[in-house]
Amino acid sequence: MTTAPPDEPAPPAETPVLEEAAAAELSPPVDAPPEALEPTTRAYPFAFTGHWKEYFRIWIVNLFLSVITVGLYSPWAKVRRTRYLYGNTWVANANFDYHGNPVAILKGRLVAVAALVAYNAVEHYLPSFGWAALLVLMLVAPWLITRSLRFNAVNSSYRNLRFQFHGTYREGLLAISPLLALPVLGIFLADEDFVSGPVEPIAMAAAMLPMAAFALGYPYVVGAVKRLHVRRSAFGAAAFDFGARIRSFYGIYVLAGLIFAVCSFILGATAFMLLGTFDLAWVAISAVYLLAGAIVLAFTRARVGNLTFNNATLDGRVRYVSTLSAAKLAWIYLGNLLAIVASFGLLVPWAVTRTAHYRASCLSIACDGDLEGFLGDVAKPVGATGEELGEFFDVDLSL
Amino acid sequence: MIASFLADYYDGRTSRRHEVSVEVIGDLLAIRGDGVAHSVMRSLASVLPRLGSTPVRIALPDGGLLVTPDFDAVAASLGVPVARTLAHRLETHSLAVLVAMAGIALAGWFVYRDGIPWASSRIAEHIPYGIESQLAEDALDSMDNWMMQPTAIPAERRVALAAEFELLRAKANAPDGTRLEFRKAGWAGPNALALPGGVIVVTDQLVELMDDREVAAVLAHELGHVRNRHGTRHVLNNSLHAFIMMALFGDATAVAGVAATVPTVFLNTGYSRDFEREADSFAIGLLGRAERSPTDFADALEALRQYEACFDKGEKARDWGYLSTHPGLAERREAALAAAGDAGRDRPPRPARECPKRNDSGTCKPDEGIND
Repeated sequence: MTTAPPDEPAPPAETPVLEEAAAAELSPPVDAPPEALEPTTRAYPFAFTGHWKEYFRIWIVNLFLSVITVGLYSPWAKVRRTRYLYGNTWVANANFDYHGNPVAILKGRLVAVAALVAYNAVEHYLPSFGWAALLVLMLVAPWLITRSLRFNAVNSSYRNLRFQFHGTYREGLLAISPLLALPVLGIFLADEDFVSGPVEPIAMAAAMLPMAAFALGYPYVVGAVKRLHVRRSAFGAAAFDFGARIRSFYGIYVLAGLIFAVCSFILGATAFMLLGTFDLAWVAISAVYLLAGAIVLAFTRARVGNLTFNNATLDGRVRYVSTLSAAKLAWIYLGNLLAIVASFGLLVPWAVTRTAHYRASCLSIACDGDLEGFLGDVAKPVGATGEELGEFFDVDLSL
Repeated sequence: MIASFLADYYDGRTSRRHEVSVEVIGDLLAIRGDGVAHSVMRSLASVLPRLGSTPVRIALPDGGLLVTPDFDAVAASLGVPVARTLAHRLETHSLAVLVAMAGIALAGWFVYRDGIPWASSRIAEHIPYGIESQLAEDALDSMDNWMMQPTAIPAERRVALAAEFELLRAKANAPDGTRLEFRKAGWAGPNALALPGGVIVVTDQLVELMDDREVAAVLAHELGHVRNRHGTRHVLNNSLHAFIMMALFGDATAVAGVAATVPTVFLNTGYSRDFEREADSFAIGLLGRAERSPTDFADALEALRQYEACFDKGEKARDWGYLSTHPGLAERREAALAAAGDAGRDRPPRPARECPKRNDSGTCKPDEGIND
């Protein structure tokens, strides 16, 4: 959806943002720690047990049902796919479950479609109001983001306890506030004559200003949204906390920019040498953009994922250990890209399960002391109305 | 018959896992072990629908949950098969999976070939012309700033062409705002384009390459783009297409979503070629109504072909087929000549002219003659 930072769609499907864990290997905890971090700390790895052939059947049948119902069935399809992915994600001898109500999702999608159509119509036919429309969209975005995070949290469960999300509109607005500079600058600059004057360095610089502001603010927004997501989440009555600094996100995106430049240059030069001409340049440019984009996406996903999980704690006692490798993830994404293009989309389920498998294999939770004991203490929050609200009012805006 | 099975029990009040055995005794499910001793009415325990090979989940009336991977033991103990929804039946039926694949392929083909273009033209009919005129002015402004210079074509030639244009515009019944602009644009070669909203721009190279009849034929083609709302329909096609891809593949990883749209590049250039053919046949009809001949259009295309040949250094003209946004010039010329009937058959070949000088930068090659 337009509202979430592009590389981080609300909580990734198979995810874990939330968990907890517990323990109990079959053997008594004291004798056979699976992995000793510190003398008293044990790690409990995540595992994804879904199989692409099985997921393919679920995916294709539900896709077909969505197609023949002109998309009306698609929320039911989404729920089934998500349940499959959650149900096959395990940690500490228990799996996750998803309880999203398809009717709520359908309502959310209708709202999203209406908003997108309206925004595109304004942008295309009334370009002078384009920035204003973007400003409105950005003011609505925090509401959409927090609602969507809440919907996903209260509809995710582990060991028969739901997750929670308590973030508010105000917190969401604060998190994305630097991005407001983009439409505000756009509106301000659009009034100045020099922008529409002849090409001059100043005019060029002025035209670039909104994009530059966007680029400067983006890492902050990613970090702030992650922080909001983790800090305001809870598993049952146990709250999550987040220790990373926002400035750590800047390091990731500066590197990502460099990688994109280098990859584009190398791939572009290779394509030019192979083609030997500028014919079909637009095909080559699209291909280079896709490949470089996949590599950079893998890099940011891996680094942001590690930074977020490695700094998240549950109730001050349970930590996450995430060891995603940018190179391996890039290799997986490139493979996905090729397979999906070559199969006209048929291998999407293969790509999804393969990625989920790798991501789960890189994640574990670590607990000082007995995790099962800790989990036994995590209780349902008092007066939990979240799930009931989730059933009737919330909308899920991930398309 | 086994009347019991092993399961994990979660009471819903804490996240503690209890390894229990569940025994079916008459109307009761007796849940025992690991500190639990609990019975519930069998009729109140609901077995949640199956999904692939994920464990069976049994919801208990007090908010508790039983989870077990052993489908058979559950089925045998409860004496009924584990509940299966229609979706699960289809997912586990190989024929249904094959039918779904075939159905999606077929539906996809029809939606792209007929559904999207049909919907776009229906929607375009309801969008008034006027709404686009501001758009054309903005587009022209920014092109003037960045990519085009004022024309160097003598005023009398421009006046003559403007008169031709006005005649064609009236015959085409194009809206009043439709107008003709001359611009110099070295990079674009001989070219003409119709901006959404009805501003038609021709480059100096095109005017220098052709005589008035031929330029008029090109303008007739561009009027076809304007009258048939190709700009609007193009945007609508792209939006509908992006929306469908997002609805179908949007939940996959971001890369997967993008990748799945790649094959449709072919389909989009296909739409573009269809628009060109539509504009060509509009031009042929319009030339007839304006008491001109479709052979003018054939000659204009031939002029472009000759121009391209000048820069091809003996290479065969390239035709990228499904990757091209325009049909081949030869194919379009044939169509124009066929429409002219006898006049077309007896038409002497257009005399070749000497090659024009290379444009300023010397690097640009003409690619597509008449752009939209």
